[in-house]
Parts: sequence; C-alpha cells; structure tokens
Amino acid sequence: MSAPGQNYLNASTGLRSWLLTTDHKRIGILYAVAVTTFFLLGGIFALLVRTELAAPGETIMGPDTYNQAFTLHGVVMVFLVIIPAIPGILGNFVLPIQIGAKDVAFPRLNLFSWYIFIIGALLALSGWLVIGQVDTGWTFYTPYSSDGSTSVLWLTTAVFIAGFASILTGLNFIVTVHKMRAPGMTWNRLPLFVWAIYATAIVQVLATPVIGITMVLLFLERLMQIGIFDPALGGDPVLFQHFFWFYSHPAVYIMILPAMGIISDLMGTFSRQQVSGYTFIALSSVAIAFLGFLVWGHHMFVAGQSAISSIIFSMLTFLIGIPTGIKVFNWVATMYKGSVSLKTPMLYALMFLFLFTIGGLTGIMVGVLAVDVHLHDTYFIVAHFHYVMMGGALIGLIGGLHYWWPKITGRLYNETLGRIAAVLVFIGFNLTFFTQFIMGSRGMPRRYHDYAGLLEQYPEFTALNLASTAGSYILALGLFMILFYALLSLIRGRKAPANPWGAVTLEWTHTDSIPELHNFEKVPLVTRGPYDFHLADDVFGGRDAVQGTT
Amino acid sequence: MTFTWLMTSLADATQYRAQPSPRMSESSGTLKHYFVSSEQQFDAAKMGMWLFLVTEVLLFSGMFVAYAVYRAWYPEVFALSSELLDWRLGGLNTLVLLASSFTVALSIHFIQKNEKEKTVVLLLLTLLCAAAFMVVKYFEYTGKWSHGIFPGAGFAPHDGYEAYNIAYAPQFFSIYFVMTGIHGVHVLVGMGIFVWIVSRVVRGHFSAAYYTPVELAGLYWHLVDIIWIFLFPLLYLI
Amino acid sequence: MAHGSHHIIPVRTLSIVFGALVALTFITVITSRLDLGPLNVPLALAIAGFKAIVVAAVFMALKYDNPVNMVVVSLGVTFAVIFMAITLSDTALRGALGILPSGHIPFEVETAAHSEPAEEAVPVAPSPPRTGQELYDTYCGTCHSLDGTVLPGPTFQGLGSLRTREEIMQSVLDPDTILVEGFPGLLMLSMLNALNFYTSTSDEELEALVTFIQAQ
Repeated sequence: MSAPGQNYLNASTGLRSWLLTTDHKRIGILYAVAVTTFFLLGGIFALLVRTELAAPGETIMGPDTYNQAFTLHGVVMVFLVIIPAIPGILGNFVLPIQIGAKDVAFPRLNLFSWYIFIIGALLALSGWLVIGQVDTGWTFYTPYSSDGSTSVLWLTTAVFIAGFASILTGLNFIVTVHKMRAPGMTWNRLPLFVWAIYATAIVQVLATPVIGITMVLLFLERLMQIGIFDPALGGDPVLFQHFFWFYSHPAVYIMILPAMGIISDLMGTFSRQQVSGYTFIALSSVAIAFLGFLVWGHHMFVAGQSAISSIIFSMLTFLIGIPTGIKVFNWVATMYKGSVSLKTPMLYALMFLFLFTIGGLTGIMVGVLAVDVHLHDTYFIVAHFHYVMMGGALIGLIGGLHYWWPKITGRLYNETLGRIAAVLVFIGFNLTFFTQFIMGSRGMPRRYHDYAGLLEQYPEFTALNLASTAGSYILALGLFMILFYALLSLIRGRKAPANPWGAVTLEWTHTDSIPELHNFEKVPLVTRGPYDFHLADDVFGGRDAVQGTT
Repeated sequence: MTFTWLMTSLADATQYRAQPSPRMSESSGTLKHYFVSSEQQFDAAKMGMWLFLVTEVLLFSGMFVAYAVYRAWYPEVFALSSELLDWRLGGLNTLVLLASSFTVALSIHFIQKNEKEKTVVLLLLTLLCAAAFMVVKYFEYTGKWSHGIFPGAGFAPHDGYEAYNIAYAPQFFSIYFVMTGIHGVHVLVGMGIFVWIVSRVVRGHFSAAYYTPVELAGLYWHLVDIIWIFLFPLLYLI
Repeated sequence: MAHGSHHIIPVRTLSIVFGALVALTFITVITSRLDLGPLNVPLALAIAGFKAIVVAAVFMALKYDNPVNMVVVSLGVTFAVIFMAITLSDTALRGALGILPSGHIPFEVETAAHSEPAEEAVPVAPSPPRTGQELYDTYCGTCHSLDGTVLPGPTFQGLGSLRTREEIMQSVLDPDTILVEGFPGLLMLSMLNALNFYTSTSDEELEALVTFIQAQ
C-alpha cells in the first residue's frame, strides 16, 4: 500500500497536515507537545512555591500571590497535565497499534477532543492573565470560590470544556477496544497497558460528567446566587465537596491507572518473561476503577460530613488496597527469576514501584478516620499525593515515554544520560517530598505562606523546608536533563531498529521502526498473548530477536 | 455545539459515499479504511452513542442529587413550592414529548423500510412537538417571572405569591430552573439535530442500507424524553 | 449484509408502547392527587422508572440490541444511583451518633439574604440580634460543653473564673493564640469559618456571646 520508506511522520508535511490530522499517532504527538508545555508552566509555579517556603518569613512573594501560585500549580498539573497526559499521548499513540487496529474508532472525534482540550486550557490561562488570579486552590471549595475573584468563572468554564475532551477520549478508547481489535486479539491477549487505559476510560466516561455539572452549578452560583453551594445563601458547602470529589477522587485513578498499565508492560519486557498474574493485574485495574467511585468521602472527614458516612468511607478506602496490592506483588513476582535489564525505562518502573508503594501505603494511613483528623491539611497529605501523582503517574509517564520513544520518533536517546537523569529525579523527588512527610506528621499545615510562627515549637521546620526546596531544584534539573537529551535525540540520535527492546507486543513486532501511516501493511492475525516471549521466536522466525545493541 | 460535533463525528464513522446501493459490499471501497466491515462501523457508532448517553445520565444525576438532598432536608418547603408549578402544563408537555418519541421511533421504522416520505413527515412532526414543548415552557417561565419567581438572587415573589417567600423556596426554584433549563437546552439541541437529519433525508443521504445518523439522533431524543419522564413527577406532582 | 440483521420494530408494537406510556402518565397524575402517605414518592418514581425502561427497551431498541449496550446503560444508571445514595447517606444522617451538628450548614438562614443585591454578598446579621445562648448553641456547643463533658474542645464550665473577659474575647476572635494543652489548634478557626461565624456575627452579638461564656 505505502511506498517503502514512507511512514506516518513523512507521509504528509506542513503545519496544516499536523493541525488537521486524524491519525491517532500524530494526535498523540499533539498531546505530547501541549502537555509538555503545560508541565513546564506548572513546574515553574511549583518551584516558585517551594522557593517561597525555602526560608521562614516572606521570601519572594506575598501571601496572596502565594495562594495564586499554588492554585495555578494545582489546576495546571491536575487538569492540563496528569489527567490528559498518559491517555492523550501514549494511549493515543500506542493503544490502537497494540490491539492491531488501524486507528481509533472515531478519528475525527479524537482530533476534536484535542482541540477542546486546548480551548479549555487557553481559557484557563487567559482568565488568569486577563481577569485576575484564582486563589481557591484546585478544589474550588465554596465559599472561597463563590465569593472570591471573578476569574473563578473563567476557570470553571475551562474545566467544564476540558472535561469534554476527557469524556470523548475515554468514549473513543472504550469503543476502540470493544470493536476494533484485530482477529485473534481476544480480551485475554490484550496488553496490560490496554487494559489499564480501558479501565481509565470507564472512569473518564462515568465520572467526568459530574465535574461538568458541578462546574455548571458553581458557575450559576456565582452568576445568579442559586444558593445550592454557597452557605451565605442557605446552600451547603459540604454538598459541593460531595459533587467535587465524586469526580475528583475517581480522577485520581484516571491519573494513576494508565501509569500502572505502563509499568506492567515495562516489567514484562525488561524482565523478559510472562507478566505474573496477568488476569489479576488486568481485572484489578477494572476493580480499582469501580471501587474508586465508592471512597470519595475520605477527603471530607473533617469537613462536617456525617460520622456514619465517614466511617463507611474509611472502611471502603481500605478495600482499594487489595487490587493495588495485587498489582504491586505481581510486578515484583514478574521480576523474580526473569532476566532483568536495567535500561532507563526499567529504572523508572522500579522507581515507580518504590515511590508508588510509599504513596499507596500512606494513603491507607490517611484513610484511617482518626489518623486523618490529625494529618488533614498538613504537609503529610501533600507528600502523600505527590508520591502517588508525581512518583506514580508522572514517573510512569516518563518511563513510558522512554520506552516508546524509539517507536514514536524512530530515534534512540543516550542511555547514559537517561540513567543519570533517572538518578537525579529519584534523589530530588525523595528529598522534596519525604521531608514533607516528616513536617506534616508534626503539624506543618499545607497552603500556608509562612511558617515563622511555628518555629518556636518546631525549629527543625527551617532545615526540613530548605531541604525540600533543594530537592525540588534537583528534581527540576533531572527533568530538564530529560528534555535536553530528548531534543538531542531528535536532532542527532541514532536510528532505532523496529524492536530495540525485544518486546513482543504488536507495536514492536508488526510495525516498522517508525510505523507507517495506517500502522500495518495488513491487519495482523494474533496467535499468542502479549508477553509470550517463549512463543515469539517460533512464530516470527527471529524477528523478535533483539536488534541493535543499545 | 458539542452534540452536533459528536453526531457528525460518530456518523462520520459510518458514512458511505453516496451511491445508495442496498447491498453494499464490504470490498466496494466505501468503508472507512480503519474498519473491517460496515457492521463493525455501525456497532461502533451505536456503542459510542450509548456511552455518550451515559455521560448525559451522569450529568443530570448531579441535579437529581441536589434535588434529593434539599428535598430530604425540607420536604414541606418543596411540597409548598411545587404548588406553584402547574401540573396541567407539565402533564401536557409530558404527553407532547412522549408523542415526539413515538414519531421518532416510527421514522426509524420507515427508513428501515426505505419509505423516505413517511420518515420525513414523522421527523417534521417530531420537530413540531419539540417546538410545542418549548412554547409551553416559555409560557411557564414567563408566568413565574412575572410573579418574581426567579432562580437565585432575583427571587422575590409578589402579586399574590408572597406566601411562598419562605426559607429554602429559592433552592427549590433554583433547582427547578436549572433542571428544566438544562433539559430545555437539550431539546433545542435536539431540534437542531433533527433539522439537519431531515435535510439529509430529503437530499437522499439515507436509505434502508444506511440510516445510522437517524438512529443515533433518535437515541438522543429518547433520552431527553426519559429525563423529562422523571422531572415531571418530581417537580410538578409530589 | 450491511443492515440486514437489524430488527425492524413493527408499528403495532410501537403504538402499544406509546399507548401504555400515555396511560401511565395519566395514572401517575391521578395517584399523585391521592394521599397515599409515604407511598406517593416511591409510587411516582416506580411509574417513572417503568416508563423509562419501556422507552429504553422498545423505542431505543435496547431489547433487540447488542447486549454490550445494555451493560453500558446499566453501568451509567448504577453509578448515578451510587452518587445519590452515598451523598444522601451523609446529608440525611448528619448529626447521627451525636458527634456533629445535624441538618445542613449553615443551620439558620433568613430568606432575606436572598433578596440582597448580588455584589459582595456579605450576609447581614439577622435581626433581632441573637442572644449569647443562641450563638453558643449554633456555633460553640458542638465542641464546648457547659457541664464539664469532654468534647473536641475544652469545656466552658468554670471558664469565667479562669479567664478574663479580654482573654475570652481574644480566644473567640483568634482561636489559636491561647491553646489549652491537649486540644488541637486550627480546628476551631476552620469550623467557625466554615459556619460563616465571623462574617455573620455583629459586635453586639459577640459581646453577648462572651458575656454568656464568662457566666459559666
């Protein structure tokens, strides 16, 4: 069908061919560009926040600016980076190829999703630039949001619109997985990344509409004082929190589940053996997706919700530990007696395992009702969710980007630089956030601009905060290093073979170094599971043998 | 806007190039390249539409939750306030919407039998019903506004409605206006979709061999009807 | 075989369903006019639910459709129900176990607040001014007992002899300046903020509250 040497990158050229593309691979790259930009922005605000806290007293900004900085950091990172990142970039690029499809089920809708995501993002940021800053935190709790700055209106509209991008992406992936699988690609032959994105998509479709209506009601609360959420008008602020967390807790699983999928694939490929407990890992993704809807009230233990609800939510929260534990133990078991190769993606997979386990276990701790009353709104919570969101979701994304980089760009990156950056990220991350566990357990409150008043009782806060800030700089250095060698790889990286890692999922075994426009010359016939390394050599006559010497 | 886009995008997945040959073979090159068969195309489009409808259900569920919470707290206020809503108008609108659902279902029946004139007539009847619904809604809304029954801050009952100026009555009417308002927006969007569908039927785009957009529009319309089936008793009757 | 397998629903079936839906609409109106006590709401919802199922099954052809679409719909409905049930388990049960105040927050609101102009909705203190006892009941009693019982905050019993009027006033206005050992900081401030205490209480009322506390 296609001329030799032609691939999705050079099939057509020009800006227009990118902005109007319906190719899932190119849309994945569009997401990559957008998300990276927003990540830089959110990261800059994180560094500003940390810099302010480096020393007691006012360091670089006043309290109002500080509130705006952490709000922008939160909103950008949650809604514009972590939620769209893995489904948008890797889900789009990898999922259709992994199931042997030529594209997603609704390619035009896929492009449309990207545009509404961009519109939402631009609206959020222009509101911030033009109207004024929001200082409510990313949670928009009433009455902060119903009384405060007017740019809340812009931001709620932006979140509403960006939500549609998430819904439509999820819808697209569910239909794609159901209807577009290649012959022989049965449900129990789906790569675990596909299972994870599928479970994520279910959550996106079921939960995101609720943040939509929440934002609509909040918008009307601001505009017409409808009195549903605003306590000054007889509304109930805790009801707002129910609405908000019915979406935003499952949203946590929108963020982490895809990363878990990436880790499953990495564990299989870099241990070169069947992923242990395939069925359990696959179904635990779905279980997490469903259980994730039943625990939102653990964000509201001290908000004034009923004691009975709190007790029930606390107990349900522990249940999440079961499917999560199943995954973690199976990943460890996958490495057992495997031939583990510590390539950069695998370093990130191991890093994920370590950091996510800490994040998950502290999650159980703060899920305990009584403990949470002590830890709520302290830096312990901040540390906990950064271990999950950054140490889990983003580390998983970075690992996945390293893994699929040769397939996306057709180039290899410098392995040595990759490993050095991974070490920097690991050290920087732990220095930043483990210190916050210590501070939080001693009562350092989150979202405070200054802690000078606490020093009499806790003099160690100065040193711990300084260490945390120093850690954030090291982390930033590591991340910039990744950006540096990624760009270097694009300019002068060595050409990648079709299957540099010796993986056996379809995107490695059945496509060229850079996939052609429609992925496959002919629709593949799948005859084995995604991690059947022992079958692969027989079936493909050595095409799976490790090519290249990276 | 999203809805129309969704409709066109989903329909796109199932679009054949014109020649309405009733037995479209799968090798005729009219299939989108990423689908294997037209059956697969049709299934995918329909499942996508159902998933979209589920997001609509969840969207409305938020408003139903707000209703349930405040009703559970202030049942007397809700009972008193709902006296101001005319159940005859609400009931009339229920019948109008049911009739429109019926005509849509019939129109799909006839397009499946390739009887396009009947399809067009029935879809026009649907549009008529939808318009009637909005007209009744308009008189209901203006009737409330003339007595100072506004959502939110503007709530100031007068001209005989003073007795309804009680605590939490504003919440009831806020919920009423938001729920029926968002429902009304869905009706308007549905009307837009049907205008588009009718014009395409007239232009001969659909036949017994290919009528997916008609069916998807019908699904959307039935959901709008189902939501009203719940809104009517909750707001007007009990 | 493009659409050959698609079920064409007979006009007769569609008409019967439409007739049934109209009849059910009349039934729901009629039954709602009768006083069935607590049964009115469940009955109306049951009828509405049945109507919805009929529309979905026949008009939307779910009955004849690929079963996966049935699963999709059921999931959506299930999670809508979960959303409602769990939220109600909070709002309807607030105050259970006697740990937190019942009802919704805030506990007392004047409708007058709604006719206030929209800008900068600073809630006006309801008139006439509330007494110290009323304010205590609304804002303090959840955490501070009058009889020595240990609640989340220290008891007010005998406070008048322990603290000066100025100290009590300061503790009300800025709860974290004087902390009693063994009790958490920040909690009271955040609770009072959540209840709009500082924005809705007049100076006169504050004085009344302090007088009330001092008298304990």
